[in-house]
Amino acid sequence: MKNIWSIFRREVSSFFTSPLAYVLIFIFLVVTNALTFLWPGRELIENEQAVLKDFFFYYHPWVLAFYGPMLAMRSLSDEHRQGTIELLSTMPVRTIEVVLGKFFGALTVLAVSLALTIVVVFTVSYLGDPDGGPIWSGYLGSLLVGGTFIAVSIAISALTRSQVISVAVSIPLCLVLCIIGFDPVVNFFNDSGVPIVAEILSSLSVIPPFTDFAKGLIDLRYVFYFVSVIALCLFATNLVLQSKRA
Amino acid sequence: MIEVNHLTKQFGHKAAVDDISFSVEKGEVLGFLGPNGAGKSTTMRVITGFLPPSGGTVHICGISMKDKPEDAKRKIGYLPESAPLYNDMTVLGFLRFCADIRGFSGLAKRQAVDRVIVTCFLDSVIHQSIDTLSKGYRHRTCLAQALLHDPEVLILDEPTDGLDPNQKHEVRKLIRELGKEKTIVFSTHILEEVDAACTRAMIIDQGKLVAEGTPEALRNEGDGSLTELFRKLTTPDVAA
Repeated sequence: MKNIWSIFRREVSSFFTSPLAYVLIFIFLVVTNALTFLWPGRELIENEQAVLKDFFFYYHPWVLAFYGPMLAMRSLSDEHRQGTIELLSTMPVRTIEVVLGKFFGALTVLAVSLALTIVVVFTVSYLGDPDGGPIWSGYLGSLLVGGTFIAVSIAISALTRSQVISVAVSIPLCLVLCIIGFDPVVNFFNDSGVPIVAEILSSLSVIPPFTDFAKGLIDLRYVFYFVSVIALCLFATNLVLQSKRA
Repeated sequence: MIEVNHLTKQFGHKAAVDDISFSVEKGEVLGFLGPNGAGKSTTMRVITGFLPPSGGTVHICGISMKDKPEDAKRKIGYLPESAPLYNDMTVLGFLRFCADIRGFSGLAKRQAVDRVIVTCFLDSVIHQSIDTLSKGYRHRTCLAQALLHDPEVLILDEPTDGLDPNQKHEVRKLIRELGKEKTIVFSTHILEEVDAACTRAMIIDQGKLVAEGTPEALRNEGDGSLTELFRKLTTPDVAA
């Protein structure tokens, strides 16, 4: 437990000492705000609705499909590239502790980034009278979706020494997890007479669970879905790290 | 202190380490010689628990690396070949992080870090970012990390590689001093270092142990010259 904490602290402080962190957070904020306020036909202000689920949160999984991999791309690729994995592996630390430390490190940066989007909530609260519940559950959903994408990306980053390859493989994977539950895709399979395909695909996607969260519904089954995907990815990462050395 | 029995490590079909057995006692400094690619680093990586062996066993202070890796690793200080470091940290930050992982906290942590800063002459660079360090300082920072927990066993992979003559001298002196009460294995391909620091030496070639003995004994075997023996017993890179 103490080791996870040490790895976690190093991870977070190394993130915030590099300019990359600030650039990434800045871009994340610009993109989420731009989508919320400027997307043609879905401008929050012009629609005069104090509901975030169809505006701000609507885009979150898609933005996170890019942002999660970017936060996680360095995590293990860099350890391999710099050779520091050799130091860690010869210290009395278990690989799962390294993996968990890195995961929670990236998740914390994500949480900070999400917290900084609170300006949007202030704006809506100033203009109207939004319901607080769906906002908080929406944020929880964003954190879980982002955590899932981070876990997927950490597993990928364990496989390569290159950050570029790590991010270039993770982003499409995360996008696939979004697209297979995206309404047009689901409708396509329903209309094609194979609703079973639509059902299977969307049950694997992050979109249906996230949509519930953004509506204010916290379904324990969906919480379980996110947590189990995260656990599966981190467990796989642990296996990769152990077998890579064999 | 270190017991290696019938150690084998295969990468695919190639045996990087081929049935090596040896033991090193407390107070011994074992020099590990061999041409590039002979299996020195691989042997060290298996001893330190970074790589699992394909066959054979490693015991550190009587603890099996296979059965109780964390306990065995606690006994070892390891300087890997390339002296890997976290480039985005300062020297002090890095040493503190390593001390955390080694289980230090509070006063003990401060004392351990201060001690290795003095031992490895890092005083002038502690607040410097690691990516701005010269090679000598990088090496010493990584060596400092290996000494933090005052380990009983030290495994040093080419500890003098890339150092200038003064630094080499300091590191050899340090190895000799530490060797009095620790068990040390260090690899090198600089033969003079054997005389300068070792109580015993081993030559390995193509994963096999080809000679072992005190520096004098080895020199006698090579008609008065370690270089002669080395050239006689090992396969030149071009032939391999």
